[in-house]
Amino acid sequence: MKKNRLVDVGEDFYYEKLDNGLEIYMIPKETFTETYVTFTTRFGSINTEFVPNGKTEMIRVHDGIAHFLEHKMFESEDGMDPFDFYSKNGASCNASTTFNRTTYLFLGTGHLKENVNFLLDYVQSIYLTDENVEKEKGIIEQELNMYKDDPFWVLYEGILANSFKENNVRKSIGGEVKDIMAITKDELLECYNTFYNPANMFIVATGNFNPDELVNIIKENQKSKDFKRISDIKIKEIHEPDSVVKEYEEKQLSVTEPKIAVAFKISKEKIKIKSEFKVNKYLSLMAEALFGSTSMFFSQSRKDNILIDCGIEIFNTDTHYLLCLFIDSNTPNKIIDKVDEVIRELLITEEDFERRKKVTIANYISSFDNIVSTNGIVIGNVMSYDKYIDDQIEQTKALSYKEFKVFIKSLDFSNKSSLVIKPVDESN
Amino acid sequence: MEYRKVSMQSYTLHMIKTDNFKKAFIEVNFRKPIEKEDITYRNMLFDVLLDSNANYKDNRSLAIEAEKNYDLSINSSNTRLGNYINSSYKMVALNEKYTEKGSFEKSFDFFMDILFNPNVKRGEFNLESFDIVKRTLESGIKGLKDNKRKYSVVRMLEIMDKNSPISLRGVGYSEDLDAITPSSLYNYYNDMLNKDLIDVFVLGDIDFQKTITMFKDKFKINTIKKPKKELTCIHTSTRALPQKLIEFDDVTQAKLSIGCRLNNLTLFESKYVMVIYNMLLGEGSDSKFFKDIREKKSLCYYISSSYTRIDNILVITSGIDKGKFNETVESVKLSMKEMVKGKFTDEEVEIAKNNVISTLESITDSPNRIINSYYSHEITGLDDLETRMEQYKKVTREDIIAVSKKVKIDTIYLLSGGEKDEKK
Repeated sequence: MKKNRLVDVGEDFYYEKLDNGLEIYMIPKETFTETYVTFTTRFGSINTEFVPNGKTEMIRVHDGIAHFLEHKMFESEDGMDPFDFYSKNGASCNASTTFNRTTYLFLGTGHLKENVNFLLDYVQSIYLTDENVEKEKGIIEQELNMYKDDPFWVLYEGILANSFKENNVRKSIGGEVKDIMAITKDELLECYNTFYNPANMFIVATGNFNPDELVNIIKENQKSKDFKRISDIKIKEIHEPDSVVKEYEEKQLSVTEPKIAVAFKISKEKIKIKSEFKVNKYLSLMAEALFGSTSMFFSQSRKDNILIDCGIEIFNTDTHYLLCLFIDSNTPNKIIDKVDEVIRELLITEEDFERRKKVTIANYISSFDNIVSTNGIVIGNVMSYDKYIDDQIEQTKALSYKEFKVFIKSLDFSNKSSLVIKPVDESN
Repeated sequence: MEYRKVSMQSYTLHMIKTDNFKKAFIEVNFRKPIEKEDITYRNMLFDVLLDSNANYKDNRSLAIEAEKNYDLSINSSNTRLGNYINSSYKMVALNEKYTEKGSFEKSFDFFMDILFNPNVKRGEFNLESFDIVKRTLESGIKGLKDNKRKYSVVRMLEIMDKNSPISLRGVGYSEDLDAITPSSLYNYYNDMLNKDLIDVFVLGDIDFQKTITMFKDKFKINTIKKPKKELTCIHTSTRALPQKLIEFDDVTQAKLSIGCRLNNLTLFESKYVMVIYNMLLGEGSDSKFFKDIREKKSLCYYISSSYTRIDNILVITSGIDKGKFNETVESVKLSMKEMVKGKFTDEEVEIAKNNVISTLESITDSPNRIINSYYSHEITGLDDLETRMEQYKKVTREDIIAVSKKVKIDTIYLLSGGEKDEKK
């Protein structure tokens, strides 16, 4: 087991990889009461074309299947489902599916061995019947309908659909109702047998536990299980163009005021800096300094009455970054023009840059006060970099304004997509 | 963890010493009996105070100063606590171990500067800040309708008891906003400082004596006041049969909200038995609602109940297909009848009790929950942590059956997709 002291935050980080390929990342916090353990498979909504484990032909499964499978993992043959089990131990459990992963988790006090074993056992076994697959369809249909009534969600999915031509991030994580209705037991099993293999999965534990004890529990548990060792999973390669699908679109929805998304699609190929961590930090520093709450854009636009609020998100796909702004404004055209102006000028002073570095470090340190946040940061790191960056404070401190200036000037902002959601015109 | 409470005459200072966190927390709570216009005034006031002040003339310079102080976070929230409105101003700062010596006091000074040194001239708040904030709030007030799930609950509570504070909208009201001026807001601000009841919490790796001195020197409040009104809501409605209302909006999924009155609960019931009842009925994913209505009948993705002791109500919410309205309501009623008939096992009761107790045990992992726990103890009559754990253990199956007979459905509301409004 590898152990590193995180000097700047006064915590320890542990790492272990088992023979079956399962990786374990740990940041214990023994002065806390609760333990938070997540178990993640690198299988998300974008993985719909792949070669199943043990086969040779590429297959295409229905959209939304990763999320459907997540729901079905909670089914158990003997009637003791995860909700019952964890509740009995005074713990809670949940799961979530994103574009590129599915994560199962529990949060609880004590009962470490039982809780961990149950997590491993229910995720590493599956109980599907035609009936329980059918039953789930009504529940998922209601879940998808719930999101359709959320204007932000519509904006979010809309801008991704208008920005990406090939990458499946253009599609809803849960799929469409018609996809869900067509999903079968066999299709679910094919996905399960391919992606729910320890070599494609990792565990992150934070909070109250002893790392040696935890690793022993997991090792002991895995010893008794035999997984067909897979070679690397073959997933269909995509060729995503640099251009966006739609440069501009207006939609009408039941909203009280316009909601706007502006996205810049930036190709990774043209970026010269090797370290992806560094690129991510530079991009988020840039976005915050240009459009965040301390930016001239934010302050002046509010004074000029063309902006109510602005949120920032940077999507990271294999081939492109998508810098997205989610804006509330009653004057969509004026605010989009303003965004263009800011992007043309890219005015960020050294003072802004250094201050934002300080904020980045402070936020990172703060996140250790919450075992759920700490865990989330580790998961994010493993998904992006295949490891936990245990010297992120050092690396952040070392970011240079000079390099940053050259970097942002080199970025190509010409591939842009804007989506405006307007209130339904009552006069029609 | 060590707790100390000190009366500072015009306010109470609660100090919690713990080295479990990398941050320190200060929370200043102002409260008064709620009137409708208080909500909009206070939402406005908080945003104006945080937009600029006497030393930092606009939002940008103020936000930059906070970032310079190691991303010092200052925020506020207004919540209704039963018959009161509570305005909480919070400061969260990194411990000096991770910053530099003197940074905590510097942050504290900045926080006090925001509270007591507003951007005011000749008895009026700065007009530029005032206008920016007003536009944002206006958008928030209108935007309530965009959040269909929340809007459904708000509408249900308005219909359930329009004379009770539960019917008030937390986002505020356009007509009240229009009536606020930079000078009326300044008068309101002075009233809040001088007339509200105040409890201050400080949590972190602190020194008690130093903290007291810091507040004596810098927390400039010196008027003494007494509570005027009971905190807990009492409902006057005596509706024999539930009222039902369907309203229409542009929604894909209909949003169901059900409000229940709780008749004549004893103190033990309201503090303990109802919490366990609520867990068994609809709080978690092993509740009756989740098992019977979601898992067995596939009627919904989410359905849950929540109990608010000081409001004296139980609220049930779900998102459903509008065609399944009656079936869902009947299923809810059935689950509630089963509670009355005692159709739950002793094991389920034990599990629910253990769950509540383990939630209490983990309070120490979260600064906000620690502060909330002490504050609730202080003002809502909640027992201290140890007593609570002991009392939950005493709840019996008979207690739960008895309390389930006191839970009465009062209002059933559906926000449905479709054309016109109609009453049923």
